[in-house]
Amino acid sequence: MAAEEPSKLDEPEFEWGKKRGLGGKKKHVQFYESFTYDGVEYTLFDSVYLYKEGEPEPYIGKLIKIWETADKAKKVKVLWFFRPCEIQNFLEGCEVRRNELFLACGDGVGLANLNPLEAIVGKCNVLCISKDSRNPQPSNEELHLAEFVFDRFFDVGQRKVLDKIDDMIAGVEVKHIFNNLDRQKPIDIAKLGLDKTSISGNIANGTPDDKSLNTFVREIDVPKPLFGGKPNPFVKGENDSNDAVRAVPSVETEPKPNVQENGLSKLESSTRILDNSMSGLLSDEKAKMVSIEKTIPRAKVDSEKGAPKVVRGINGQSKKGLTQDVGPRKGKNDVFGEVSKKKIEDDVPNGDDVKAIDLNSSKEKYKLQRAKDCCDVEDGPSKKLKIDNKLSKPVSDKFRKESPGVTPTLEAKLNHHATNVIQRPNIDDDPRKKSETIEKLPKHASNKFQKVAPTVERKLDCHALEVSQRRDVEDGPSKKLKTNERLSKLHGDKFQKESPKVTPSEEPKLDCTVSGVTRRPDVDRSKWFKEIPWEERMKTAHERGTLVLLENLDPSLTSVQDIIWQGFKESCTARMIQKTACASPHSGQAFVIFKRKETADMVVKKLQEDCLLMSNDCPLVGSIGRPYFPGKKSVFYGHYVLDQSRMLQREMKDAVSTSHCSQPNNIEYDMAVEWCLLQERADKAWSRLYRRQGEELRKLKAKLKTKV
Amino acid sequence: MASAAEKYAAFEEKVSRTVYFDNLSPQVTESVLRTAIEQFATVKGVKFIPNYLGPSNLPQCALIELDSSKKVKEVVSMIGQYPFMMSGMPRPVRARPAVAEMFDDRPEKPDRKIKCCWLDPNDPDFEVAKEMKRLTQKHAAEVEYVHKLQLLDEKKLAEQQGEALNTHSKKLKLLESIMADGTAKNLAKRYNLGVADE
Repeated sequence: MAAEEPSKLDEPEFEWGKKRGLGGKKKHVQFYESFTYDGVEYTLFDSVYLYKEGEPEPYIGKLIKIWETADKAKKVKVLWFFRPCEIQNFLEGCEVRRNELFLACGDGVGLANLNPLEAIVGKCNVLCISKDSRNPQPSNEELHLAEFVFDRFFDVGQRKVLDKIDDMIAGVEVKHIFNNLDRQKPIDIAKLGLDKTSISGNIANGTPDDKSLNTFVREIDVPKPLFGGKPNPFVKGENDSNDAVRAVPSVETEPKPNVQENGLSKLESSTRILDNSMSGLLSDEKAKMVSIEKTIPRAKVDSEKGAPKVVRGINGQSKKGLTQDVGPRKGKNDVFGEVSKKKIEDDVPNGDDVKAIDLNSSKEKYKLQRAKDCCDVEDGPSKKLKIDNKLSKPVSDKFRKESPGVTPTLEAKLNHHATNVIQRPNIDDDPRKKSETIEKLPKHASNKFQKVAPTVERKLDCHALEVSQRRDVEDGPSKKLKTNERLSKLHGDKFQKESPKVTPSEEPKLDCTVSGVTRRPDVDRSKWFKEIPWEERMKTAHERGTLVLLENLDPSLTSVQDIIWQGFKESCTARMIQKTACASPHSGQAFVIFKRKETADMVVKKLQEDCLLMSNDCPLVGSIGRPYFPGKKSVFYGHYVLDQSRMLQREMKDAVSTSHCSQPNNIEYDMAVEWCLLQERADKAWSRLYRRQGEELRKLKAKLKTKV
Repeated sequence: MASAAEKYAAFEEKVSRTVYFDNLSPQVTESVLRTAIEQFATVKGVKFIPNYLGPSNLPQCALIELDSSKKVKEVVSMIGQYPFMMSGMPRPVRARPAVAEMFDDRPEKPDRKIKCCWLDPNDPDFEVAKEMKRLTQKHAAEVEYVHKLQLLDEKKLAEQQGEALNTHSKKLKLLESIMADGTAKNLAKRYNLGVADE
């Protein structure tokens, strides 16, 4: 029953092809497997372009049913492909190829539609590149010839991208979804010559109220009355207005029973949800906002508080703790301003810095001196607290493993921290744990600790330095306190102890040395501990010339001190520089503060002359650090202030001070988009740069023969 | 006393819950950030990343800890789609999920060995290492240069936009003024046209 259209001049030619079967209530519907339209032969399961008037791009769909109704109307059922732009809201983060499509699957609006055959404007070459075992893999040539590719699916019900499907989509077996085994037909590069004249009256699938951003533009807002009664699928496929093909009443009856297949019936039921959800979906922003709004729990957190307060709190508390502890020991240590407390904290890590005062005394004896600011309270200023904790260098990595990241310097730090910890028992970042361990410590190790008197306002660092220098002069290297006996025992290192030669009268014992340094307490304390003082310490170190910048480190390193220790037997405090978005992914940097300028200079010089190779096969590069300190008045491009007289003061302030997403209906949006563009360009430039740098590095590394 | 592995795992979890913002203006403070993001998700912590190395004019960066990694994805995707303004218009901020290296207080990775060794000057690798050092310095210089160029670009765009904005506002002012002082009405009467009242 080939329906021949009278060939008019402006009507495209049509001829039915292979028949399939009869259907419909009265068996008046003839299904076909192929047809020729406008000179192009189409077969079932071909991908075609369908044109809708007014849309800039044609839709792409797969013919999954072809039939002719009793009234000689030709219909096709089309399973849709989504372009990435149509589902961009749901693509979040997925990478899409330039010519990638997504095949609709699942249940819901947008899966498939019935359309008049005349909506077809051409064949489309869509290649399935899915790695599914059921899919014959395409050859390279076919890939080149393909106009579009797809390997992923978009579930219209769940509204998400899927990589795999089961066996049926819209009642079609997957083998028809995947590439044909016998792809004999030369792929017609579909002509996009949208022949509007022949199609204009026949466009299906539009609704007057389609909004531009609507993913499901193919689904029509089915008028409500249809839901209750007979769901009329054909209405979906047709224009509300003046579609000539829209012979609803006649069409309705027969094919309907046919249409009760899974795909379509589901379609009907799901159109119920259409109205509200569609309108909800229609605007991207709304959709997004809705989802986001729902999930906002109104936080009760006071926005002004936060880290600073916590820190202050800690400081305050620690202050108390400090005074408590100090009190019994030294009468005069009363009020410590936050400044002084800070200094003490400041000092603590500094104090850890190993001062290799005396290296000529027996090699076995490692001495660590910790010069504390000794503006002592009890005794004269000349008495310095020297906490000589020389930690033996952990030769074996075993040590390091046990105490991840803990190095001798850190142990020293721990010693000192331990003291600090004791003094601030209220702090909740796990000092209690430490204090426990601390209590266990042997009493023979003693840390001396003197505090800065409130009156002395000089920076602790300077003090420490001066003091230590003075101390050098006075005492000589022989006065060392031993500590860490326990430490050494725990880690099985040889550790020569010296009896404390420091006169006990000077230095009241602090019975709190660090026990097994099996963990790195810094991590917890560093949250507040390092934050405030680090910058200050850096500043002072920079002024004194003890700041060194290390480069070429493995970016994921944290304990730079280890390296310095291993390489130079110097201890220091170091911190990796935080990586930002434009930082190099290949190498990291760190700032290191040494105790003395000479050490710093020596280190830099040695690094420049010799090569210290690290485990990432890179030599360490060191230089005198020259940090920038972010100033308050740095220039920021991109924020404008309009003339105040134009707007009401309040409005203006509100607009600026409320952080908001810009909506596309104002000039602000356009300008913002320009900035986004600039940002994207910059990102690309960075990635190119780093890629090239990475290449250069790799080439050099390959030349290295020694492996660390 | 948490083991190192546990701590590291906890840290990694924290990283997955943190968003990295940059292109923040210097006027953005912690409280601004907090209020802004609290429109979308509970903010657990805000930390700025100090800029010690780069040119001093680089915009600020911050790490914001949320309460779940799902939120992070949401926030990142939203900011990716709509330009989000903070403390000024129209330059938007940028957000992406944080990585471990952005944190300065990260714990040591468990089972990590740090090794290093001094190379003997006679070792042929010595030269290679020296070259690598030079390369590092070259790279650092390149990075600095790119930063500089970027800042110049930004400045240019800013000036361009500023000019455009000014012209627009002048135009609008002009329009307003002639409406306000009746010139428009007079002219309309003269030409027998109607004046639309707003």
